[in-house]
Amino acid sequence: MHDQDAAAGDGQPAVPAAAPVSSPAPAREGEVASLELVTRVAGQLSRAMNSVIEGKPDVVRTAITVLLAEGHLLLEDVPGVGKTMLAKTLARSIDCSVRRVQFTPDLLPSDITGVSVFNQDVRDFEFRPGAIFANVVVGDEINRASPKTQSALLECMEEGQVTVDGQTYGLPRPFIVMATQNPIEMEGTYPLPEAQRDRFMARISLGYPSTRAELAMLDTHGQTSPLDKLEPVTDADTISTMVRAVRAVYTSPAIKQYVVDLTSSTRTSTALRLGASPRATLQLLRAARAHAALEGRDHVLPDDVQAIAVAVLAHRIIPTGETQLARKSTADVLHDLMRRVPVPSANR
Amino acid sequence: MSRTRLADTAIAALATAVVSWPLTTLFTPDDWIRPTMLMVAFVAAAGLLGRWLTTSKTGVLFVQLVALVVGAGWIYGRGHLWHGLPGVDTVLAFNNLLVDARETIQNYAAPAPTNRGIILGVGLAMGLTAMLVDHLAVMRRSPALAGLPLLTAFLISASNSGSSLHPVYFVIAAGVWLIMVGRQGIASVRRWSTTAPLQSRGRATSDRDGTMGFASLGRTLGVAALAAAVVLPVVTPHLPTRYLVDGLGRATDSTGFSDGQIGLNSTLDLTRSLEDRSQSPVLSYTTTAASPTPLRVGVLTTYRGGEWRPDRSDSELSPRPRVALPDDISSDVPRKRYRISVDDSRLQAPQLAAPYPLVAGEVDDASWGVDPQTQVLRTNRSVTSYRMDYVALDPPRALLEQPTTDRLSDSQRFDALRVDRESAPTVESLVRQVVPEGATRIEAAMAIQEHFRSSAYTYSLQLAGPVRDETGRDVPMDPITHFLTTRQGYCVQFATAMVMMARAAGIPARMAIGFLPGTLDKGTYTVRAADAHAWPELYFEGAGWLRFEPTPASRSGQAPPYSLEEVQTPDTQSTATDAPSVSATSAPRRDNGANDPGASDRATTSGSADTGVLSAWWSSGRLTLLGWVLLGLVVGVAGTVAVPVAARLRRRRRLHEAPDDAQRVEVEWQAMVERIGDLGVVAPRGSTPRQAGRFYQREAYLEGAEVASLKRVVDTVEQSRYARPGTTLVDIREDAERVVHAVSGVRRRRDRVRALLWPQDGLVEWRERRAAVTEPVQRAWDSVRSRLGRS
Repeated sequence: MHDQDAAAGDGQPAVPAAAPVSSPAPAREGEVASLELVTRVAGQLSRAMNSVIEGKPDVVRTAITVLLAEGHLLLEDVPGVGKTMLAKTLARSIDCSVRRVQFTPDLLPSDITGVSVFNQDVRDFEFRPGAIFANVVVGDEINRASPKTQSALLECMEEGQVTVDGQTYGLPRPFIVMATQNPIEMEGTYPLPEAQRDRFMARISLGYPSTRAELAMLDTHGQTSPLDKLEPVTDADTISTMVRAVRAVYTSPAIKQYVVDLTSSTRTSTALRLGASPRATLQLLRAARAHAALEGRDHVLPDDVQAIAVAVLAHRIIPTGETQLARKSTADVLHDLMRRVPVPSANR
Repeated sequence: MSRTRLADTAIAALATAVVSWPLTTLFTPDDWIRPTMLMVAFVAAAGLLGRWLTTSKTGVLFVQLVALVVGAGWIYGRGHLWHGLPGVDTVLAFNNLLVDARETIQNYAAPAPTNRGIILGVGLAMGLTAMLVDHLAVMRRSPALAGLPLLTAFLISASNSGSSLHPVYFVIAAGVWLIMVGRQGIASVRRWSTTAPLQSRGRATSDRDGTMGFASLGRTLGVAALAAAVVLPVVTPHLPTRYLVDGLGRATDSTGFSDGQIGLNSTLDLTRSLEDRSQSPVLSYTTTAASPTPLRVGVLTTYRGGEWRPDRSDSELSPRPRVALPDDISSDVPRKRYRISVDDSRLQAPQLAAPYPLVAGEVDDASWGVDPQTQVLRTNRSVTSYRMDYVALDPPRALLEQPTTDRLSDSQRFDALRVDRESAPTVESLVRQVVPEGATRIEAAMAIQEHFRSSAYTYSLQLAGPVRDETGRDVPMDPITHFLTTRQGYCVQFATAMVMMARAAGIPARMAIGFLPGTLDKGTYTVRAADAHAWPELYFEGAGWLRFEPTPASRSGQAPPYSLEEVQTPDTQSTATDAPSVSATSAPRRDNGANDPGASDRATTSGSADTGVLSAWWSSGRLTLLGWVLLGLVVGVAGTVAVPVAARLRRRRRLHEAPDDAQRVEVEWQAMVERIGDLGVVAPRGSTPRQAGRFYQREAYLEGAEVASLKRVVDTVEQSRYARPGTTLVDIREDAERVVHAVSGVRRRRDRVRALLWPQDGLVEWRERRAAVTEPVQRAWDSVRSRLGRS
């Protein structure tokens, strides 16, 4: 039953024994956040990742932003452009527990969450944690799993905890799910419905590399994978500290107003059939905070919101038929909206 | 029904009917109204029928034309129809009627008597107008264009009535036309795909945004335009036309002045009322005399059929003609010599105004001549300036009592003694009543003059209506008898009657026309068209032709000293030598109760004196022109600086009102953005401060210190807007100023000037000021309307 549990043998320490908790650990507020630490570690992280993922600094930056904003990442692109490589690189750069799950149609929810097994020695049921119990979870080809299994994963992502047989088990912190999805192969897939895509903070498409980056890739990836040589540059505790620093970033009323204006403009836009949800508003603000922290700033600017808005919003909105006929992507629509929604100036 | 367009047709017909209303001022009685309205209704009905039958514009026009012809036949051509239809006989009858109408129009001043010809002509013209209006407004859907035929019809009344039309005619006609235009406008607005804005801002009254909003705006505009059209001409000063372009203003009035230049009509029709007294200046002059005499333009001896006819003048023209005192004035008559210098004369050639009798004169740039008999002047072209020397005679009483007229030639004596045959009985019986038995010639003349200046006569520009007998029928009367019966008239009637009575009393007399001395202002007398005057000249052997003044003092001032009783001479002399009078109409009057005109005359006097002063103020020459130029300059400068000053004040006020540093930074930033925007560099609407900064840097090629300044400004704005409260903020005023200056340096001059003179901030300020005034008014109006709507 557990043989499908694709805990990748990538040499990471095993999951610490999951202790049942009644609620997630409360964030320690008021802790002095060190923005300097955030920028320094994030710089190391992105340097390490950029050495593997050639020519995609923006994508790397968005991935780190999502990590610091306590979100989850959806990597959606055609096969072979390095989705899995990106996820694995981020996982390898951090000294923490990593699980990789290869989603297949016969993967069961219990494979994700874990299962209670009767232990003959202690004559009691014992919880065997599933693949989700790790700091970094890489879900490969998530759309190949059945909707039931997808739901199990998404529930864990949303709540940060697992409930099996009435027992609730908290997930380790930091916790990030990086799922990849292939939009081209439609045969035998179960594409994520809009409601579930909404659970991911951001969606990234890598796109094809530039000619130069591709040439460089031929050299670096020729003999051995650069991934093998990659050393962790930070650990889970540091990441948690950074996350707390991000939480402490100040958002002025004007910025909150701007975020709300932006998401509500997607709801009234005539180019869109479905606008962004309130969850999107929340996540946009969190992402903007992380973006500001990465810049070493203790307050959010409208520029932070704009920088992250397409990644955060584009996968949640559905264009109308006319927009699609006009060959406008959701990113184009969002750029239009950002040009139109005025930046609020009222300070306080 | 919608194709026939009943409502539009009705409004078009109504418009035509309304513009025919002022025709009531042209024709009397109003017999023409009913058939004309019938014609208009006929054409409108034909339009409806035509539109019901066909969609072709030409087709409808044809139906209306047929209806016009047939309708005219039925309405006007009864008795001349051929099987109920107009035929050759009808055309001939119509032709005769129209010839009648033409003669009536040519012969009569407004209001002309209505006869069958007039009724037909008006009916046909208005029918044709109705057809045109219907075609343009309903068939071609361009009611604005239909304004042209309507205006034409209206102007016929306005330009021929001889006086200004009452504004109500215009207001109602323009109102109906505006309704027509408004209906068409709303119809086209309703054809738009959407009139509701996608996003409503501000006021929640959605009604204002759609068609109703447009309609209400249109109504407001229409009413405002109408009010402006009526009110503005009243408050706008009527500058003399020559200050614009000489001869452009054409004002033909009842005194016969026209074409920018002014000429006295040398044919005087006694039956006409003077309705309008034009205030346009005729000439201005200075004189050495303390109390100037009237200026004579012409002399008329022949009276026939109710009219004075001009005499043939036999003066020879030359640049320097001989001017000599007439032979019939004895050299021993006491006299004083005066000089009059005329400039700005606008009298039409060949007329020239001058006192009588002349002794010398010079005229600039023209050939001129003096009639040896009458001393009437004549020129070959209009002259603006000339100088004349004349004498004021003070003939001794003894001279005036001589009974002979030997120095006159026979034909002269014959003409100057001929009493009009029609009025002779009345005139002669009145002479017997007025002139005492055995009176000398001067006594007779004085008695006649006293008679007319007594309160028994009323001075009025309006002649009295026809005299009726006991049975209520009009009694046909010649003009002189009519005047002597009704005792109401103006100078022409008074002078004519005195001439006739003098002739009946055996004194040779003739009619002089010209101008009263005019209004004195700063040493210069200004004579206006309204000062036109007529007076009798009576012949006395040895003293020549002497002026008498039968017109009551309210109009003409005092009579000449020799025509007054001896005892009153010192009194009048002393008043006459006082400071020159302001206006001829308010010249000192004799203190004789008998000569004091009636109360009604006095009212007329003060009224005309007032308007004289007013118009003098408006058009009193060079100073006014300078004043206008100055006023224009002041208004222009004020208009130029109004917007920039408002912008500056607005910025200062907002800076002053800002409660804290953050708000001040915000105000400085907004001001900088707007000023750079005025220079033509406008960052996209959704730009963040940082993006705007980059945009300015790129567009204005900023570098070095300017970039640093811009960065400081942007950083401060970001701090103030988005950082934690309590962050210290620096003053960015100088940095912002430097950035604006740098941007201005790379812009075109045109943009810089626009930014200086036309800042958006200033416009916003003005708009807000206006809104502060209009919005309470609008709210009040809305509440009144809603209350009315509820009740």
